[in-house]
Amino acid sequence: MSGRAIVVTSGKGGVGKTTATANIGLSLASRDQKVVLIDGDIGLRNLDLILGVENRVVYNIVDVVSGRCQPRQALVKDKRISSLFLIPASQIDQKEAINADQMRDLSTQLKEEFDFVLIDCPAGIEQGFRNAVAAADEAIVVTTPDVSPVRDADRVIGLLQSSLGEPQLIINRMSMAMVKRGDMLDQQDVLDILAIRLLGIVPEDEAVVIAGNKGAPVVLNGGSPSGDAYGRIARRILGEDVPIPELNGHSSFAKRLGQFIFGR
Amino acid sequence: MTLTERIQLFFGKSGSGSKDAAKNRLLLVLQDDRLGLTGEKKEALRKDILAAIRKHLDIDAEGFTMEFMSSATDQKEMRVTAPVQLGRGAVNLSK
Ligand SMILES: Nc1ncnc2c1ncn2[C@@H]1O[C@H](COP(=O)(O)OP(=O)(O)O)[C@@H](O)[C@H]1O
Ligand SMILES: [Mg+2]
Repeated sequence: MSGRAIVVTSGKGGVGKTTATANIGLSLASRDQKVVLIDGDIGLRNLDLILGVENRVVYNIVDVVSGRCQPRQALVKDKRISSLFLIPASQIDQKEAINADQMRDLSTQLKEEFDFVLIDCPAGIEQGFRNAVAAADEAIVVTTPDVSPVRDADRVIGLLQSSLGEPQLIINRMSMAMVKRGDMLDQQDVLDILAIRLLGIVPEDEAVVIAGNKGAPVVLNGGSPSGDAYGRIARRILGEDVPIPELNGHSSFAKRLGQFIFGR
Repeated sequence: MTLTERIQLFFGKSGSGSKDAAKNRLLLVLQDDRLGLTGEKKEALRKDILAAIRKHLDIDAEGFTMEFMSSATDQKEMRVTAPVQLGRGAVNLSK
């Protein structure tokens, strides 16, 4: 078996890479896929916390590549969805503790056993980024509809094109209210600028913060707009043709009338 | 939502419409990023163009600026505009 290794990256920090990795991973795993998540953010370990498995971390990725343990020993199994595993980052090492070849070898090994290897990339375009990209065959770029993340996304897309080909885009934290007011770039604006394929749009959603607090990502509790969006993204990754709901600023007369009368 | 906000939404009236500024600024800056057009390169280009024009036309060197605009429809197209201020000599001649 040879699975798909996908890096989740962005350039800019804080745009939702870790949240996306956790939710897409859980969502794929709940669709009968065997999934391993790699926290590539060495020195700033977070994916375990977002997944809520921080208390069961024993070994980490630096232990694996330096031969202090077997990859199998470092896998943290999710208790909610049994086909999901995590290889945590190390909190104390430097990014330079691992090189690109080691990451590539690890990923090759994991792809033998897993359908998906998802790599949560650190911010920036230095060693940590290069390591994460080396381990991947495909890339997902996450951005928010703000000027700096979009600019950084463009840079990362340029860097990826030479190695992994064209990445797919997730636009995160879209606020319908702001788009309607003309105060936020809408999906078409972002696509006009970045000119890559759209994988999905995730709305701004308080549920993400609550999920973080609890260590229970949004896809685990149905019904949140962001969780539903990640579910659709996972289905698209699996090749299903799931339409992307239009989140643009043009609202119909009837909708505006409704808003006028009901105030929402 | 306040009544004013509701009325504004009803008429399709927007907030400050700041996204247009965001889009235009991004298109500009990304054009430079993608071409590797640094401030230094732009300045060198500006000086060369200025010198070239001044060989043939008496223009004001002081306020000579160049603007690089990417086309909204064609990623491969760029428009360079450089409004020139005619120098005192040229203006006097035409009188
Ligand atoms: N769709 C969303 N709605 C609201 N908050 C979000 C959303 N996505 C991410 N966040 C918040 O943004 C912050 C950064 O997210 P994170 O996934 O850690 O980003 P990154 O890994 O890119 O640094 C977190 O506090 C998270 O709760
Ligand atoms: Mg992160």
